[in-house]
Amino acid sequence: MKKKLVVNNQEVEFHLIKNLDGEMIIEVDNQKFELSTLKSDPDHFIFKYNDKNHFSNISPSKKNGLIVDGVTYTVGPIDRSKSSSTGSDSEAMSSPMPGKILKLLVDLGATVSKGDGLLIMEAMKMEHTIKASHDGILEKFYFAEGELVDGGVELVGLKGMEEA
Amino acid sequence: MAKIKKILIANRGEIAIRIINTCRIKGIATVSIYKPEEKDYPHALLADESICLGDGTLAETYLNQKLLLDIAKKYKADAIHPGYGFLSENAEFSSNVRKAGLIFIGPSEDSMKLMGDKISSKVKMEEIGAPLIPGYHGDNQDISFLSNQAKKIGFPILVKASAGGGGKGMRIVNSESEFDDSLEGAKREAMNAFGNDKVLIEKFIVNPRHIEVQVFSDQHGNHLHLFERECSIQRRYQKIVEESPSPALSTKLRDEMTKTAVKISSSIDYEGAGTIEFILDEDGKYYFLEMNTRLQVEHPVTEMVTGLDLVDLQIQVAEGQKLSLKQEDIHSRGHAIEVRLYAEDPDNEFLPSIGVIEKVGSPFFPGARLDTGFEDGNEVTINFDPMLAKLIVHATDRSQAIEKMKVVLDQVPFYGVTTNRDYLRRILDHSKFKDGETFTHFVETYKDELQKSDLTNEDIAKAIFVYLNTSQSKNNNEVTSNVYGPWDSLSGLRNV
Repeated sequence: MKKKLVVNNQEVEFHLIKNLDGEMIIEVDNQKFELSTLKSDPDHFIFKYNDKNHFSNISPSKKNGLIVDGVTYTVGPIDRSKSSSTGSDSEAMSSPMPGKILKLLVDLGATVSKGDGLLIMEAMKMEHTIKASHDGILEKFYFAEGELVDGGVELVGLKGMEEA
Repeated sequence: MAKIKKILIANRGEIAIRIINTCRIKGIATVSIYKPEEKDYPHALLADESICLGDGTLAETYLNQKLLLDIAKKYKADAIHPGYGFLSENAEFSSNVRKAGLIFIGPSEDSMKLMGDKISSKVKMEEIGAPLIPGYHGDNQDISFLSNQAKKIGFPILVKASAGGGGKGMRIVNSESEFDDSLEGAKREAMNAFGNDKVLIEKFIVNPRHIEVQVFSDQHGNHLHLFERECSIQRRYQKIVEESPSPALSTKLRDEMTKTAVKISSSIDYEGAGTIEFILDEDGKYYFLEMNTRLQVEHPVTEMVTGLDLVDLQIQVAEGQKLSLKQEDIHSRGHAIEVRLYAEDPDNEFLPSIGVIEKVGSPFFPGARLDTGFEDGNEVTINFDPMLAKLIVHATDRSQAIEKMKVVLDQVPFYGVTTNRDYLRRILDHSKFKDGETFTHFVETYKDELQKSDLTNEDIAKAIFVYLNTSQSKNNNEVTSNVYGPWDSLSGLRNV
């Protein structure tokens, strides 16, 4: 039976072929991995894979990630409530965090290319340039220079060439 | 000679705690300050007394000189330690503290004024013959005049805020066509950050290293150095990895640079802890960059290799004691590295991140030190600097220090906020870093190689395995129902 989890914002399919007393065989993309638990306590999780010991730990709530062999991963169930229509494009032109709009860099109606700077905002005393996520025509700035904005709000309306 | 009995710490976070720790072992009482939203932060809890500054902007709280002086008087502190940042390099503040009859733990007002301004400091350096980068450091701020000066120096050039620090108000300009826009950006940032948009321009050095020398002086004309730190690994012009000794210095070059540093501190009759920053080019030529007239963020690196407590030395000097150390008593042993953990997203242009820290963690390894202003449950907000912690290790040699840092980095996850932890680890793992080929543009040059690698099937299997096998309860049914929903239990697979 196929299982799904989200690993680093990526939906991953796998088979759990064996699950017994801390030992598992996990199949990902037709590749089988045999892993076994050596020690599990709140601060460490040590397991054996490929005859070697691997070290890891996990956030107490499990929600804030885990570290395996020095690399941080986020793993969690698929969130079915999340709308999949929010593409990365529109997110990329949202305010990354609360801050202030410092300067609008292009005129309304201007044709811009992917990567062009559209506006500069200031957050945590640093300037950040919000760049065009795709080619298009700049239809709207939702905020004026000097305005304060919350995190995660859309900042510009950019009409894509291809979707026109 | 005045014995200090109580210190008001005019700062917050990890540096406030750092100062409290030395005061504790010296038997000096401490007063810390905090804003209401920081009441659960360790710096508000660990001092002998902690005083709430009330709500308000930084100017109304941490930068409010009158309020700080009132608190110092009310709680009978006899000295103020400014830490770094905030008022630490504010000459007016140091003078006001002294006028109020208190000891300011730092250099004289005159030294701060002289070295705090990039232009006046360079004029002084020219006078004493310290090496300087070609550039225009004058008062004329006319755009076309500056543009002409830039052409004369030859691109690439660097535009910097005169009052600046920390990379704010700084731009590299590669060609004449970029000049006007970059100048405007630098001036705007400088005005916002420092209230002063005066800039200077200078030759941009290719493959530079940032090497700084820690100096220490007392009130009796003794001027010492505590060797160098290399801080070439920077992002957005802010240091993120610092080490001592520098892998780039020969004994001869180290000797020259430390001698130059001491010549500078003695020629300005400096007092206390200071840092002389140099740029070292590919040919082993070095140039004076600036002097920081305060304790440096990365001072622990020097403490690790010299075995000295810099805050203790600062307090001794401020009390008017003679430095009991002689230059020949100071030795550098082994190798120390510091990394700065930031709440930021290296995969998204190092944008600062926010959140509640679920777990800080702690390094358990001999020769490792964590300086942080946070504990579990604290919230990281946009109101303060996004630096979460400094992690410092000391080992026999550089390669062991690198490996030790990798081990202890895994013990300090700061779960709950997006951090640069993995990114720092990738830097430490980079072959050029291991080879000591550390230039200030390292992060930019190896941008692609330092990015997170794509998930392999093995990565996925390991991550899923850890996830499925670690739960608050060891009940498999609960794990599976959490993960897939009750209709899709794994328990039937147990005997497969």
